[in-house]
Amino acid sequence: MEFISVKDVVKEYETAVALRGVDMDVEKGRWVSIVGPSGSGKSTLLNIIGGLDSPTKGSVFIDGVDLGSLSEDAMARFRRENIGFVFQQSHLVPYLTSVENVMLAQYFHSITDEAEAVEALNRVGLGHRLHHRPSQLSGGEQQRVCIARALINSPKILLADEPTGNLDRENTRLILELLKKLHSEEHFTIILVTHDPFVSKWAERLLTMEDGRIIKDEPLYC
Amino acid sequence: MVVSVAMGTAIATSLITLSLDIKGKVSRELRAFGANITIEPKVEGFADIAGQKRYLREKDIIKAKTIFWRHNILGIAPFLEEKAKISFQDRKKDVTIVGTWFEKELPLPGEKTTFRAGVSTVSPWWDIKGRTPDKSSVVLGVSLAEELGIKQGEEVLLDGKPYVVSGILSTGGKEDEQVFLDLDVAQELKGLEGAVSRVLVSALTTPMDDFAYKDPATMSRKEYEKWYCTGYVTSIAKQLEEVFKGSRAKPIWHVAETEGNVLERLSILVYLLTAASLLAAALSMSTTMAASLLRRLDEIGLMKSIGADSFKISIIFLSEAFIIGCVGGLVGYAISVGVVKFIGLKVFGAVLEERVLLLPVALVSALLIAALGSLLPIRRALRVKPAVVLKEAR
Amino acid sequence: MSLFIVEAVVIGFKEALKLALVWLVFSAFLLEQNRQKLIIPFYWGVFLTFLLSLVSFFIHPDLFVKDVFARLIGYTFFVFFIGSVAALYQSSGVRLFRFRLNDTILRPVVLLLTVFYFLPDIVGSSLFIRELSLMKESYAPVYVSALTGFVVTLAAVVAVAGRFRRTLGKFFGIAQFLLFLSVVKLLGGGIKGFAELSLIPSVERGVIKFVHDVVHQTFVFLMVPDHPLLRVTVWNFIGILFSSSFALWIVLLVVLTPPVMFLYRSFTARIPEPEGVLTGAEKRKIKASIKRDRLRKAVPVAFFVCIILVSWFSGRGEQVSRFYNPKPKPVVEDKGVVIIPLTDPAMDLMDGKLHKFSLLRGEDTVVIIVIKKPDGKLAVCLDACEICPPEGYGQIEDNVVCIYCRTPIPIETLGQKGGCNPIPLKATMTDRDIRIDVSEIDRLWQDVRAGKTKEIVK
Repeated sequence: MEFISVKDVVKEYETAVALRGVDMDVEKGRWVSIVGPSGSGKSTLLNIIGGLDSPTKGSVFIDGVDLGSLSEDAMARFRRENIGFVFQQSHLVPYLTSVENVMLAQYFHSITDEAEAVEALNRVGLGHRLHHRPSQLSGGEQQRVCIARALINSPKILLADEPTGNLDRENTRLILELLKKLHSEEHFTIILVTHDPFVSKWAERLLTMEDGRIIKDEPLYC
Repeated sequence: MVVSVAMGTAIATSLITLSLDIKGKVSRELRAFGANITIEPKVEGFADIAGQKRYLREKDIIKAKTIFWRHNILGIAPFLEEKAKISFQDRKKDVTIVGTWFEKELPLPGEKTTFRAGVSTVSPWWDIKGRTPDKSSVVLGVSLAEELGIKQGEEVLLDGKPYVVSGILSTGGKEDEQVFLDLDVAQELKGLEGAVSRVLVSALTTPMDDFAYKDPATMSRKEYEKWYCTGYVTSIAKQLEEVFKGSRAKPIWHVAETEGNVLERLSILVYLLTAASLLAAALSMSTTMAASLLRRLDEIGLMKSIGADSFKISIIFLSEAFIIGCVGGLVGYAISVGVVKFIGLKVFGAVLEERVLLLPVALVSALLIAALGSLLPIRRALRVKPAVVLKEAR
Repeated sequence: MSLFIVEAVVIGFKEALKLALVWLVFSAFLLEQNRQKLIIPFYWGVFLTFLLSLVSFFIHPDLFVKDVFARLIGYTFFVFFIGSVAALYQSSGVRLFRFRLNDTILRPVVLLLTVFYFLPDIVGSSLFIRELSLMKESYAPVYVSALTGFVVTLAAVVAVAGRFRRTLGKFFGIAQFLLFLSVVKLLGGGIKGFAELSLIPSVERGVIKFVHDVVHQTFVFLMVPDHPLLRVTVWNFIGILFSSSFALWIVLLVVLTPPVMFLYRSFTARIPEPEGVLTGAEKRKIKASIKRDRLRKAVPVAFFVCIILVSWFSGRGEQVSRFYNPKPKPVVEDKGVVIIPLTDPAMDLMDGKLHKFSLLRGEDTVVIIVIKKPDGKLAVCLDACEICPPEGYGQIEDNVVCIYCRTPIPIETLGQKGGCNPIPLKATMTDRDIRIDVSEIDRLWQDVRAGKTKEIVK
């Protein structure tokens, strides 16, 4: 079985249908981009893969584990050991500093280790902004904190939902270069949702979604 | 939140302190209230209907310390109440004069020791400014003294005889209108040597129970022994009646009863009130906590997406509640100390002792409020779906 | 009659609850240690205990045997407490001993400890039940308490047979298990009541006695001259050691130090760095599991500390008011005289509290009460009034109270005859002790027994 395996996933909301039967497999260590117009269901798919949302029908397997069989707390345990999230909005805790935000993820995973958190921030190039609160950081810097936080527990998968959506071209490039560097060092799997062709082309594989279905699946060589 | 916890704790702690203290205080106060038996001349026969006054004998008083329950007689005081005319300068008035012992050591028959009797043993709350009366002086009730404009040290005439006013008495009762003399002086003035119109007794008694109301005549030997040996106020009154010639001894019920029952009911009430105030505080804590958690739902969603299980999230918010509980508990304890002092001063005219021992009680109850009040909102907040809140936050 | 039944139910319930609790925790503990087979000798131990208590039920043990069993309860507490302290040290890194017992050795050990643990309580309780049924002249208390015990045990076993034990076992190491045993003993060890907490005062008395003996022996050893001046000043200082509040603090110190130190260590001790090539996250995970285990093991210990504090606290609360009825201290006659010292390591007659002393006269135990009156003199009386059955007196604040008829009696009138006052005894006071002629005690006691004193009742 593939590392990530999505089988015939349907997601219906009360008023709309977001996913109309999605099948998808991802090999371990790959970088996959999902593109599509807004409302095509790409964010919903990402949330379902990350266990933040549950499908109406169908199932998701990660590393052989059926996410549908996990209780909410078991899902949380699974998530903290296997999955890191980066969102469009940085979603940092506003009253904690960068290093504390990273340590929060350590706390939920096991115990905190400040030296390790500082090291992680150094790696994303924020060694000089350890004790700043999110409001004192630029958008690009906030996203770097998020990346450090998402990767602190050595997850096998990084799920990124429009990580550069709020950034200008220059910052977007910096973030993507950072991700590329980390990906080549740690070999985690990346699934990145975006509508920006500039961002999507950094991947090794490109999935295109429309109206709740995957309509195109193509390899990229860069 | 701190305020609601503090209020709840303050109320609970004050109530507990007060109930502990009041119990001790009231039972002591009641005992200090002293007189729980009054002995008066028996009214019977033709002479009484004609209105002829009867008296008790002063020499019977000491016999109270010879009855079976002599050890439980804590105080005794005779009173001789008569009408007299008081005149001061050009003012005149008909008043009640009372002859009594203020404090007197009575030699006990057949023993070397003495027994302290007098008003101070049955009515210790009497407040005399000045000295107690001797052979040539009197004490005036405060209202009477004011009405006639008499001050301590001035001279008044009682039925034409001159007496110095050695003190002013205030009790808040009918005594404020009366004139007090030494018993011997009053007897001499009225020509009633050896006569007393009323005797008040303060006795230490067993609280009345159902057994006390049984008729001794219907009792088995065992029951009768127990009844005989139990110091009910009725038994003691009966024995006093036997030693005072021509007397009727009656328990003063309100005091005797209070000792037995009211305290019990009072403490049940206090516990109910305490529980209610704790519950109310927990409820108010709960609503504030729920509101605060509602504002932080996206934070909870975020924590979940990072991989927090409900246990760890609960720990975070419970530790907040814990700090609130501790602060609230300390503040509440401080408030309760103040409240208890205030109530003590107002109600008992004395500072009730504060109890350091109650600090842990206050803290525990505060923590209980905090925990109870936050558990439910936290549980509810934990049900949030991370995907939903994170999307809404955008 | 119904009161007998209630009492029997309570006793059955208590013993069964103890048994069920210990069984539950022991089996959970064994499950965690992967030594489930050791439960078999435990069952044998329980069986043996019941057998022995049945024997004691049918043969009539004398007073001495009863006394031994009453003492044994205290001893078992100490044995298990000291064991748990040693194990606490062991588990916090201080290596006291280094061996791993195999099941062959452990089996008889478990069996013996089980018998040792349960025997005093169950024999004590069965003797008490026996006395109840003798009093009632019916076997109802026996049946009732046996039935209650059976039902409670069965209910407990059924209720927790499932997976609950697996979680429970995670909280208990050997130290925690032994501590748990001593807590159960402390709370439920008494024969009669449910939570007597009577061990703390007795421990206190033991400590005072111990200090007294040590000091005394040291003096003898150093051959300190018995000079009166030296005696007075020195004893004034040493007296502090014998005051009951000091002993209470010592007891608290002795009982609380090991668990508190253990708690301190489990929260502060450094967690060793995991070895091997691991990512930071993996290292943290291992450390977290060590920490979680430490926290779990700390829970029973913290619970124990709470129990001790609460019982000490409630003990203090009891002293504030309420009915005070001390246990009589046994005294013996010496050449026709009973001598009661004014101060004694374990008590001070002049403290204004009621003191009771028991003297064995033939088949009867005669109780003498001594209390300081407000005028500073001591009142010495029989613990009986002329009329009521001799159930004795307790103390509520400034009064003594007849237990039978609940009549309060002012303390200043003690030592005088009459009313429901205790019958006064003639005693000689010296500056060191009280001496009472046994003939005087006998004479007055015979009057009480014969009902002669009741003749005044008309």
